[in-house]
Amino acid sequence: MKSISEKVVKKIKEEKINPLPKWQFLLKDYVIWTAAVISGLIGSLAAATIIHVVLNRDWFVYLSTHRPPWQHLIFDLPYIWFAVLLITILIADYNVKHSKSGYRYSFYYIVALSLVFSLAIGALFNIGGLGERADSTLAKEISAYRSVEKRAIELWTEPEEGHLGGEVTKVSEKSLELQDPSGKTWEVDISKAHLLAMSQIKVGKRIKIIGRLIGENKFEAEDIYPWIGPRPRRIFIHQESMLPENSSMFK
Amino acid sequence: MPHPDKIEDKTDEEIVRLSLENKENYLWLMKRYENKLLRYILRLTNYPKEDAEDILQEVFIKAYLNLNDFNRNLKFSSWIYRICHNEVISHWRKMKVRPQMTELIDNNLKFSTNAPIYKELEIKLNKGKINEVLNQIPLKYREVLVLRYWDEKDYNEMADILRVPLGTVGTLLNRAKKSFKEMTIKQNINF
Repeated sequence: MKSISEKVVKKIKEEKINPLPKWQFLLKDYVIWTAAVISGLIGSLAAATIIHVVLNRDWFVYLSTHRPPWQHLIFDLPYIWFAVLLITILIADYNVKHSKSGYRYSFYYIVALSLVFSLAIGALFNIGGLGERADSTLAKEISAYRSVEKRAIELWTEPEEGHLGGEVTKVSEKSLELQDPSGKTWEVDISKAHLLAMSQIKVGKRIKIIGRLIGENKFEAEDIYPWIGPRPRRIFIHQESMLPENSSMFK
Repeated sequence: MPHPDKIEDKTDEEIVRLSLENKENYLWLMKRYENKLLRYILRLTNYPKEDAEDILQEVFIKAYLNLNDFNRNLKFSSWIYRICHNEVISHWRKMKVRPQMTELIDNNLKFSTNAPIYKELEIKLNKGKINEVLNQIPLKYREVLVLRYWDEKDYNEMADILRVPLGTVGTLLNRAKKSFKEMTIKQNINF
């Protein structure tokens, strides 16, 4: 009586069974790893955009509004990019688990590693401007998406809340004229803001102002910031702070 | 025809390479694992021997088909046990969908005298009772107990066979022991 091994060899010979070619397995591995790399790059792009949004939202302004800061926070978090990041992390876990040795790593280990990888590459992408580009591209494609720019426009056209932004159209010693994004012209009193870098207030330049509404199309400035930049660099500050005119923090 | 004396001295991994060159060499690899894997299937499934042999044939055919996918970072034994594990699970699922009457058989289990559980229980245990309990706990727990205490696999090999992280092996083993103990209490079995 034949053993199982002998029966199997007989069957292999009779039915001309051959091992599947190596390229099929290699192709499967390449597909898995290519998918992993693509999802990693998409996750990094999502991370870059999250970093861009977090760094460029005017969070500091929320402390000076009537609404509690947490309401702004919930309203302004880039959920769509968090969702993309989460999906890519889950795809990474699936891909790693289906690779030859990926089962050795736990779900939490893969998630943590993917997150660190996405944030590190995302930070580099953001330095290269990809975060900003993804944010503005999505804003063009999806009208409901609130990019940093759209949100800034909303935020800085709330003079009754003490925020005003727009393009400088005229500058004098104690006031300036500003056109907000809706085209409305404002007269801004800057006499109570200590002038530190007049050179940055130029006609045609966009600025953000914290202050108060003092009348019809009239605003009194306390602090003035340039429109764009990862962190708001103050151009004017309160007189009482008395910082030296050539202080490096305003450059 | 390969010379048996020579090939018998070779490692599993070397025979894999030789089997890819000449299919007859695969016989030597199967011979090494035939009894071990048959016992493994019988312990897990409690199927009649003929059914277990059918599963084993499928395991050997699948292993041969996938010989080019053998991961040389693994032990061959872990790799073929994994294929066997997958085949048993797949067969078990099919049987779950289409339940059949299976003959309860005495697997005539041979315990390793080095296995810790054997040493602990050797004086008092009754092998039949162990099998009885083993057959009533979930397959995933039965499997880790069999791999650890009957086939004497270490944690790394078990992780490779079951395709789970190393930490999960310890967790599964603890749960399996607990499940085994609970079943002995439930069945009022004393060792």
